[in-house]
Amino acid sequence: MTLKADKLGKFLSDNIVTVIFLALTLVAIPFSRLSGTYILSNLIDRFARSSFLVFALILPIMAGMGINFAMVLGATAGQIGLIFAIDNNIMGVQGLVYASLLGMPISILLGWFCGQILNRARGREMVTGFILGFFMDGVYQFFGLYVMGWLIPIKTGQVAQIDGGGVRNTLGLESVRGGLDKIISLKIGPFAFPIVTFAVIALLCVFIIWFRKTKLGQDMRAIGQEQGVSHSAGINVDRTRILAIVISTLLACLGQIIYLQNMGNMFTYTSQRQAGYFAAAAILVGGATVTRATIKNVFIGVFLVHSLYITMPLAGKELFDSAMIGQYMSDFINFGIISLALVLHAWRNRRNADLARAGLRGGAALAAAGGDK
Amino acid sequence: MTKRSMIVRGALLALYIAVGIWAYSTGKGYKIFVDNTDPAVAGAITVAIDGATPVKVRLGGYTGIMVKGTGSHRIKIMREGAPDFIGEFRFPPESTAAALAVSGIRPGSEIVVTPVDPETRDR
Amino acid sequence: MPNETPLLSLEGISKDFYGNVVLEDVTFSVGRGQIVGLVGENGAGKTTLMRILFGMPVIAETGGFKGTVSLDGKPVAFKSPFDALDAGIGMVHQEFSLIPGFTTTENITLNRETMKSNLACDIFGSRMSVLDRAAMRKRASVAIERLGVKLDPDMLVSEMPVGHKQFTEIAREIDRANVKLLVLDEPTAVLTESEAEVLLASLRTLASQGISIIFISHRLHEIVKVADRIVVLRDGKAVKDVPTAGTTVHDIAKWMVGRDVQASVTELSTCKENTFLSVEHLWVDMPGETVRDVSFEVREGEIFGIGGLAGQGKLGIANGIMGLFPGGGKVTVDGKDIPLNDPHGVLNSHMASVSEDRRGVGLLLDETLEWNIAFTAMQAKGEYLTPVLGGLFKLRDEKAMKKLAEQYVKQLEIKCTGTKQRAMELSGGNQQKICLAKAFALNPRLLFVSEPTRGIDVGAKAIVLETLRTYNREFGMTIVMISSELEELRSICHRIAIVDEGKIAGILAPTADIAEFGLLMSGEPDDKNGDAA
Ligand SMILES: Nc1ncnc2c1ncn2[C@@H]1O[C@H](COP(=O)(O)OP(=O)(O)OP(=O)(O)O)[C@@H](O)[C@H]1O
Ligand SMILES: [Mg+2]
Repeated sequence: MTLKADKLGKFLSDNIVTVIFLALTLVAIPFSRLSGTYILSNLIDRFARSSFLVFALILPIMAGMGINFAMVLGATAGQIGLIFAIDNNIMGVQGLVYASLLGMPISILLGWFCGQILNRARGREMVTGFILGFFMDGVYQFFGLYVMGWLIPIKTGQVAQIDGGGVRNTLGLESVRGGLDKIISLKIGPFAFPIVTFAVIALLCVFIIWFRKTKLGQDMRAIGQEQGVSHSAGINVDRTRILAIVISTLLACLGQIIYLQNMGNMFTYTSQRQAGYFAAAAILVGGATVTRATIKNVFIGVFLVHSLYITMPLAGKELFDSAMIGQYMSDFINFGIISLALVLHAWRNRRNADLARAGLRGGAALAAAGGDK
Repeated sequence: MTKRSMIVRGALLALYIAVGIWAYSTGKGYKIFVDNTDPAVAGAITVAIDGATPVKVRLGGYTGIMVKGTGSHRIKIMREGAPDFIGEFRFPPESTAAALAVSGIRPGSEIVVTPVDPETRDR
Repeated sequence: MPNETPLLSLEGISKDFYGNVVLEDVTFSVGRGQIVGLVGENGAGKTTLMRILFGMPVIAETGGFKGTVSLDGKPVAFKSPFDALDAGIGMVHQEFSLIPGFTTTENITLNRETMKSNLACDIFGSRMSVLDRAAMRKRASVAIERLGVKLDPDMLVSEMPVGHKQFTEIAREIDRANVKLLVLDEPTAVLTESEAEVLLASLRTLASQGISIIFISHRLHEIVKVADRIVVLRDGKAVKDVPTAGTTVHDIAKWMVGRDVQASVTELSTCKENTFLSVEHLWVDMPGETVRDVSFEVREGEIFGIGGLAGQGKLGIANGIMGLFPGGGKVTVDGKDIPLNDPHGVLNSHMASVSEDRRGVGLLLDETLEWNIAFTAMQAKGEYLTPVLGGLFKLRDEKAMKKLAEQYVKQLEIKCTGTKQRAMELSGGNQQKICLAKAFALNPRLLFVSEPTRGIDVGAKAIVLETLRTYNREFGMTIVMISSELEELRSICHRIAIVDEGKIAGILAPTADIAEFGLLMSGEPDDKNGDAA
């Protein structure tokens, strides 16, 4: 009996973040007074919207670089691609392809730059990546507000700021909205399944699984554990780390484009930041740690975080009778989750060590209690 | 680098460019202005192009509809008390916007579109 | 085979580190399938010679070397270890270079995995190939079989005993298609005697397959057992190059030191009756050296030995009491309770310890010898600090530190260019001596020493043991000595406890029959009667 209880306890503590959010969601659902159908159809939509983004975080975790907060750079590249697609008036899925083709080289460049910097900040990749994101914001704003419209003329009135300088703060993406989701939309009862988007996500999963089996994937696992040993075995550690970041940034670029085509509008100067926080929160809620992440973690995380996004604002309104609560909810959830997950990560490491220790105490504890034979 | 990988990389680059050109040429949006100015037509019409959501145009008014690509487009004009009109038109080359006058439309005849300047027209 | 060109020949190798000559005109050769035992005192230049052979970057960084290295009769100049590997030289380092979360197979084939290429390789290069795990496993099994040992190809390194790790490393070297020469620098230092035995047997197997081996060890009986020829280095010169046949351990020791070595036998001090250290139900969570339930008492002025096989927990005892690993139980010194899990509190209670891991926690490798020797004393007791401005600040008392360092350099015969040399630049054995000096400088009433003679040559061993005895006799220092070398324990201790599976299997007098010790260590009757003298 106690063995069973112990196992349950260990399971709970290993998956504590996930369990807490599952519990929160289960509590929030009845308070939100939303119907199951509504929640489910929303979840399907949001799943298609944002899981691609979260996958961007897997490889850097595998390579021992923690959560790649610098994926914001990739999201920025995706947004730059979209700005050009809108400004050139490329519509539908072609607009998305066009944005991707433009965004990918930019994201590779940014990823390479970011990888170089992270290689100089070994052991502090996460906080460095975070700061790099802020730095990139500045560069991006310079690009969006000054370079666009001054060096690169803006052709379409919709894109320009009302007073003429640079790109608008909120950009309508009507011409590419649903460009991917609506190619084939399968309706089953009240639910609409964006088949092509799902196919793209499935393809990405296959890619990740395949990638783990490649030489580069194996090298990433190796450097994730022991950089020194990998180096002396002849693995180019620096280059492998850069590649992990480049691929992550590239995926973030594509992920952001998929995300925004679903949303239908873009906060030009803040959407990329939201993407980064959301992805980090989701993968952590899904049970990933800063040292281990799987595809399963991505899926669980996306579902849980979105369930909370859907229900929490309404539940908050119901409980506290304030519409403002809902406004702050998603930011609160994101940051709360990230900090909580990181704190719990540290706590869990300690607890596991304690448990292992208790196992070997065995004889001593017995003897101390006077039960020695 | 082996010859084979050079060929494959070259092919990939060509594909990249080809996809770009495809996306640009087939995805580019053009604006078509539909004028409802025919004195013979008494009343509002409803216009749908390429199966998009129909738009209502009152008598004497016009509407601007975005269409994707320069290829041929299907237009459907509906009005009260008359059979629906369905026809096809092509976008005039070298222009980003064009006007289509409903007055010129007769069943069976070609649909005439004339290039316009979107900036002056769209006010 | 005198007419055949030897596989490797070293001719006139000289090397100095900024004027400090460590190798002088060393010449010898290694034939195909031959095992050459390389011996010499600490700091004689063995490791340096192998670094030259292997093209290690430190050599070029410190001004290169003179002389020629030829492989198969052709002179070679390796710019990096990778060139040496390509030429068929494998080196097994003393520190393990394995990836803990990888299996035996993954480690053996590390960065040389068998791969299947695909279209993605043409675009992004060969690193997009997919690993062929079945073929990798087969290769690993072949390498393990060539070694003649039993290793599970699918076991994680983190779950392996030390010996298996060592074998995995060797298997990795012989998995290279073209390996012709293996260099092993003190591979047996971390192994138990039975594990070392298996290692020696597999070296013989490899040699019979035509692989040449250079084997470095301070355990001379191993050298005599396994080597075809013995090369003795003394102060950087190759003073002897003889076939093993007809050579005894005693001869080798004599050639190494340059004079006759005799074990100096001093009378043991008599210890007092009162209990100085008492340990009750101690458990320590030290990975690989778990202590489960240990109780014993040590009298004041006693030298108490703790022996046992590797991995049974003997090292965990000292580390646990010193608070370096988490643990529990009750420890009292001189009647006072010692707080566990508190490395600082422990230092204030007149205790000191010498860690078995000289590279990990033992030394500040970038600092000078003076600093290393006086550091702990300075921290723990505020010694070697002079008050300035009425005690507002404290400055390091450089003069006193230098004097102290010089005293120990002389006493322990530490081979160095001066007390200002950085610890990193010392040979392995001399670093070990610095660790001892550091502990002595604390002048503790209770001293824990773990594996004090690991990696130390025969002559220096006697000095270290003699120093321990002197401190015990003259200052009444109580010493707990932990060692895997039973002979060493028997030569110095008043009593010896044997640890087995994290518990004390028994406590014996040093005069007890060797068979009794063997029995306790294995927990079962054993008919191995130690090695022949
Ligand atoms: N990087 C270095 N800079 C300066 N001196 C060095 C350096 N490396 C080694 N030495 C010196 O070279 C000499 C030979 O060292 P080496 O490590 O080759 O000895 P060894 O024979 O391997 O000894 P041991 O048995 O103790 O391992 C030592 O006196 C050491 O101080
Ligand atoms: Mg050495």
